[in-house]
Amino acid sequence: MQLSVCKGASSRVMLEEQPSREQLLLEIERLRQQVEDLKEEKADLEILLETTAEHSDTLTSELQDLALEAVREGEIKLAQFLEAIPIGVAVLDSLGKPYYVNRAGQQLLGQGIVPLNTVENLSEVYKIYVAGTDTIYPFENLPIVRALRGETSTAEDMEVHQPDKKVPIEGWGTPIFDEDGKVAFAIAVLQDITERKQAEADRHKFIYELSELNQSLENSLDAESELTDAYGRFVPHQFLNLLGYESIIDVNLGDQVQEEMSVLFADIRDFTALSETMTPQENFNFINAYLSRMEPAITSNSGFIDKYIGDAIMALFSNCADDAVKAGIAMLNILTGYNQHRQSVGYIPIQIGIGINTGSLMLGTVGGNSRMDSTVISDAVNLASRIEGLTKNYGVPLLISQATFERLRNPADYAIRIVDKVQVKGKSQFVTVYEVFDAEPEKVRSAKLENLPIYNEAMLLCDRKEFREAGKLFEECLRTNPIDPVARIYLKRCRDWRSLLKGI
Amino acid sequence: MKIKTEQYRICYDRETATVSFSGSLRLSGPEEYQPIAQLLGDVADAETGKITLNLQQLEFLNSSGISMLSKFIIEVRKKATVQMAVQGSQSIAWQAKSLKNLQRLMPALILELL
Repeated sequence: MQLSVCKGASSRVMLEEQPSREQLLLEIERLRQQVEDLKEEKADLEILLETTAEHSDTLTSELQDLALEAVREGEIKLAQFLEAIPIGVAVLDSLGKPYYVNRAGQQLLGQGIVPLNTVENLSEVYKIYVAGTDTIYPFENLPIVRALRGETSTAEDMEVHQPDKKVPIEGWGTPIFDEDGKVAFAIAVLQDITERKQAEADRHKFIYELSELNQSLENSLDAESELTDAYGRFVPHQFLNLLGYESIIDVNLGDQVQEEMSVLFADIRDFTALSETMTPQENFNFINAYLSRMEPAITSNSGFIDKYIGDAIMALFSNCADDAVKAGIAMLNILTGYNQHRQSVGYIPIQIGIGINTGSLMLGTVGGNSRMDSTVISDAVNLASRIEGLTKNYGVPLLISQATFERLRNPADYAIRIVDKVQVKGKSQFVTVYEVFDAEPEKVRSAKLENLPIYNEAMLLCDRKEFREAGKLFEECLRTNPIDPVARIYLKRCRDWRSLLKGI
Repeated sequence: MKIKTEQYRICYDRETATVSFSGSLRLSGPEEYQPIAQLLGDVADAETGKITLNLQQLEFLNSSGISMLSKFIIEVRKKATVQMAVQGSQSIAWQAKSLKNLQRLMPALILELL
């Protein structure tokens, strides 16, 4: 503007008058100054531009350095973290080449990063086997290789074969994706599971041993139970139960219990004569055939066989006297059937005598340390045996004692009559003995029942020693029932007594 | 006179005729630097002796910032009556390089890198 004003001024000067030399010189000086100012301004601007640019460069490189340093520091820290982790970390790049293995990983694998031609050699190069075998682990199943395919997986059946040891390892593989969702790295975490495998093995061994133990325990229990069953055939369970035991094993020498029971004795009449006609084998075959038939009659009436004495049976009934009497009747009924069978095959029929008494019994175990048995100690047993012996004298199969008779719930349920009075050994009192004839053949039974009032009257007269009158009544009995052996015996006795009394 | 934000602080001490900068100056463009340029201009108008710029606490200054400072130096140089001193820090990397250029704009400028 200054310049244009000057131009205007100079043109005006030129139109009007030629400018003076001084004026021109001044003008030139002024223009020079202007140029100098512009030059300075230009220099300032250049410096300013340079300053700004340089400053910008300084800042840029400084920032970059800072950024790089920060990244490097971060990386170093991360690497330190990874190195310090006590479990193995291994990384494959996207091409499947080993990229990073931390210290724990190197210890597990026995080597660090190894140049690899192809990921297919991974198992071979790092000596990874299927645990417990010499089979190279299929590379495609390695968790880290599966991670290359984008899968996350675990495997605990891997084993690294190092020169001096085999290390079972568990591996966990997972992919690391880039921004485009492609697998950038495959990372695997590896752990030495020697201790866990050992613990598992120990546990398996323990379980196996435990099951072995259980098995042998079970076997022992079975054996004991079998033994008890077997023993039950020798020592009746009921006997043990009465002693308060489940198993024979629990029984101690000297264990005992006292209870009121009925004792049944059964014997084959004239067995000695019979056995002489048989071989030992035949003897046992016969006895066993007989006993096995009799046994159910006892057990089905809540009784148990205390012992076999040759052909004789001793049975006990702890519930009530009726059980024993019913068992006796049942035995005789069974015998009738057995005899029919014997006769049909040409054997002679057998006869048995049964005696029953009821009283207080002591059950217990006797013997020494090496030989032990259960036994019953009681006068009641002796009396039962004696009563059984009486059956032979009177020719009747079943006799019961007064004690048993008195304990019957309803004696009228049975066909019963008095037979005798016997003196208990070593004691002064007499015990009445009764005949139970329910099992007699129908004809005999009804005849005995029919004669019962006369018979009872006769027995009463006998008791009063009125033998003449008694004998008459016995004669009457025999008239209607000639095969009544008891009446016959008493008739003979009455006559003997009469002749004896006459003699006196 | 002072300008204070979370990022930076600019203080003028009349007694010592010193403007102290601290923090990080990252304003964008001459417009945003205008208040600071105004402050410096006011100081230059008021002072007749020596003006000191203390940049020792200024951690960071962006390009627009150095441009603003440069222009201020030119202004002071043109005034010719005022002396100028700039105090920087050796430990702040950019200061050693960029503050020297201020001397090119004003050779009489006293630069102290402490």
